[in-house]
Amino acid sequence: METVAFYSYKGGVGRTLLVANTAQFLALSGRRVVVLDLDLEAPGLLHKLGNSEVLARAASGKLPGAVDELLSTVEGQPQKQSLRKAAIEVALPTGTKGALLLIPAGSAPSHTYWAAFERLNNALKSNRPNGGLPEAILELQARIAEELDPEFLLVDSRTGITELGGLATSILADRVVCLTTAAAESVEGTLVVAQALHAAPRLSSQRPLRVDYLLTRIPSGSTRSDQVARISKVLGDSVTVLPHDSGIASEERLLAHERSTQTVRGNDDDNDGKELFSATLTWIAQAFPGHKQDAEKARHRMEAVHRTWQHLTRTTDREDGGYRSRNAWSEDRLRERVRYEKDKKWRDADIVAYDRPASDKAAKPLMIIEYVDGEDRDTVARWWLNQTQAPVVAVLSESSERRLYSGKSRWDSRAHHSDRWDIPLPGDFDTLADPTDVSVDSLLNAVRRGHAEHLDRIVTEWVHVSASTLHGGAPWKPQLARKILDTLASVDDEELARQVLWATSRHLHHRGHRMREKEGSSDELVLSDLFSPLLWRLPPKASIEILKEHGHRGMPFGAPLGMLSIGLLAHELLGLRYDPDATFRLEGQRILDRAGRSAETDDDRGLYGLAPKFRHTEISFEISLDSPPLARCETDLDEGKPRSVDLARLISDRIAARSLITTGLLGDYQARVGRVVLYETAITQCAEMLALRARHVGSVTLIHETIHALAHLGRDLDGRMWPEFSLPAADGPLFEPSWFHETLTQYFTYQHIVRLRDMALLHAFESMSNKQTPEYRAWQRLKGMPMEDARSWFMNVRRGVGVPAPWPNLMFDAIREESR
Amino acid sequence: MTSAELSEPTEDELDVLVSIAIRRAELLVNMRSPISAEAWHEVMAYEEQLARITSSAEIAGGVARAGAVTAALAAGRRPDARRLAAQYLAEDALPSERRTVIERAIEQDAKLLAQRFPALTKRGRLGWIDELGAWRINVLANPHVFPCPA
Repeated sequence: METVAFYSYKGGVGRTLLVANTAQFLALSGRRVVVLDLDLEAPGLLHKLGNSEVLARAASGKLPGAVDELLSTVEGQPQKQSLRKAAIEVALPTGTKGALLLIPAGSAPSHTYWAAFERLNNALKSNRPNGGLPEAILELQARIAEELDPEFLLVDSRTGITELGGLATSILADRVVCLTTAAAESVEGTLVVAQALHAAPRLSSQRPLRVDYLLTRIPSGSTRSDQVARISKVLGDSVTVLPHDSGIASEERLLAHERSTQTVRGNDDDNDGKELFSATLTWIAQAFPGHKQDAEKARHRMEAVHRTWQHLTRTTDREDGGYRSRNAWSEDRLRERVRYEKDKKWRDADIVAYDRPASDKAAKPLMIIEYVDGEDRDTVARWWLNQTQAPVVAVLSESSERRLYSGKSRWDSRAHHSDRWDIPLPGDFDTLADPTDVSVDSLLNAVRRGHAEHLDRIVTEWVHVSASTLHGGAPWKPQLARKILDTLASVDDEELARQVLWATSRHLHHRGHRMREKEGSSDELVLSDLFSPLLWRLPPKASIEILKEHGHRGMPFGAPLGMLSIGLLAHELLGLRYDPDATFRLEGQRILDRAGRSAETDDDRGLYGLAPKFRHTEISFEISLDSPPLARCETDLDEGKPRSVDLARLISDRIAARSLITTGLLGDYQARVGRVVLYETAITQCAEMLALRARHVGSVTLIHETIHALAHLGRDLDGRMWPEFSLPAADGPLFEPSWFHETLTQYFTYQHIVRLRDMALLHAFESMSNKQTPEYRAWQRLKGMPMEDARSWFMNVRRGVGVPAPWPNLMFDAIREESR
Repeated sequence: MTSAELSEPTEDELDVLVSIAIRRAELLVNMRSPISAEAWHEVMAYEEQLARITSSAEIAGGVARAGAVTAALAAGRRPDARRLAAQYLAEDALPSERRTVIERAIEQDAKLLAQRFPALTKRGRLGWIDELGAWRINVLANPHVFPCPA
């Protein structure tokens, strides 16, 4: 038996953590290991290696330990029980050849423990002949060798140079591992101890003491600094430097067996702490050379479980430009090393995830995770699925590949091996019918059921099957892309629709930020083929909210997405350019030039002094519960008194008379302030009367009024504006729609809806149109007109140069035909 | 009196000193004093000196020899006790009853030690307990080894 004492002059150097990790590594490598906690004043090993049942026993004061054993020896009482009763067997993975036993300090921190510790201190104060602590510790060491027969005894010593720390350490150990930070006081104290250890006499038949030094918590990147080199020179050749990891430093979590009660930092990815992890395992493997293959296996296992734990508990994802929160597993819902036993057969799960805090007796396992070495993974998964009610089993393996198995297909008595590569998070169990199934269909089903959790993944999938064609290689799946778009567009719930738009815009933002210089074309595709169609197809309340939130102010970078979508509509549909900022700069400059003023004057006389004049060029959107202009009031023409209008009756009458209009009744474009307004009450009542859905009537109205706004505020491609080309204001019950504007706008509205390929929207547009005035129906006779011709005609009219034949005649004829 | 005469106390003086020392050591043991072992060491020194100036055939000489061995054991100085026991038992004139006392004290101590440290006994390492006594003295005498040992 080799006895290794881990010692530090000062606390907080990661000593207990290293003891626990070394013990695990050696046990996983096939060694029989006993860990003894002699840090009696601040014992901590129990929390690193003990399970919840053991911790509960400690809390209730019923856990025997080193203090009790030492006390009985010091007081000269005969040993009543075998040491095996005080030793706790630490669960190891199924099939591990090694064994790990822990002898804790005792029932710390219960009152029972401190009472026993006080008794021990008092007993030691009276100088009993041959009854001192070193004698008692030597006896305990001999008992461990006699009764437990380990290959390694690892001792967690207390700090400082006391009888328990210094003397006992040097007498007991064959090897001492001294840990120190780079702090001057820690290094100086360690040097004193080092001299003492080397100078202390050895007992007969004891081998010369070997001392190793570990310089811990050295900031990453400073492991080769001058300071470290100086300290290494002072301490000697056998110095190993372990890097610092703030996560592990603050949480004291085990590398492969974590027991933190705090939230895992997780601002990195799964490689968090990897440098420390790797350095620690390398040191252990070098310091305790054994069977190389076993050590490598142990290393792989610890790394795999470590990475999995990180993945499960990481609360943020790193993204370009920042972090995004992540619905991780809370640690109280996770348990490590849980043994399941049935029919005299048992297995140890490395991690078990529960549906509620694991301490709750009603907790049921949701997922079993086991690292499998050498066994058939399918067989192991089947065992777990058959023996537990857990719906998911994750099998880790040496090849770093993890496989997920689902209990959903237990009907065919074979474990279903999923294609999913990442381990499910808690939300997956609530939102997915089968948490291992992250196919597009499964994710879209979750959206249909109202879950927003998978929207990011869906958008990424859409990009993968759509945008990737720009770079070649990846599969182009237009039908799948279409399916994703149509399903997302079918969302009825306004809050979910808002989240759909947010998820899409978020993706665009991040891609835009990352790819602005290299792959901007991907962004354009997301904007034009996903975000914009969704903006026009989803319930208008959600769309308008996004259009409002994406206003110019508060944008971290780039143009607001809502504005980009509107600009895209102007460009692709009307052949216009819509960019209010550019309009402001160009037109403002023109005004200042005419006035002979400098645009760069840094006061109100410069360009910014003109800002109020241009505010209306930035289209704003609003949903109003007010009465629309046509229903606000009617003045009794005979008596000159105002009288209220029944909106429902007004709409009903107009539908009956096929004189329904959009502008002025369902919506409005207020040219003076550049505002698009949707009248919610009128839209709802109109939809009811036409047996349509309000969201579709609203979307048609939104598109229609936005086209009005763009026809007014869009600039020609050469930069000219035609502010006089505008709608007559809908200012009262006598308002009559402009035949020219409405015919044109309906034509472009139709073209836009056709391009959206939304059958429900097209049906709503046609149903509404059938009940509208001839100007609103004329598009039906013009829909074969090429878009280029319509644009050309529209441009001429905007410029006031008239319209060449035969278009006016065609329009008049169409309206006339509809009027019959 | 010369300094040499001063350093060699008489039997009567030693009787007084040893009586006082024994009483002091017993009191310190009752008080669980950490220096009780040192008090027994003092007793051992007086008894050893008495044994030196008295014959083993005399009653006082026999008592002093047995007292020196038991005091050494009480002081935890087992190697000293064994050395003294071996020396006194080799004296032919030592009365049998005193011889028995010394032999029993050594046997009893060994028995107690084996009871207290069964595992070390089983592994043949009981000698470490004796060594620890010397070890501790060595370390305490050299504060540069462990500057703050207890």
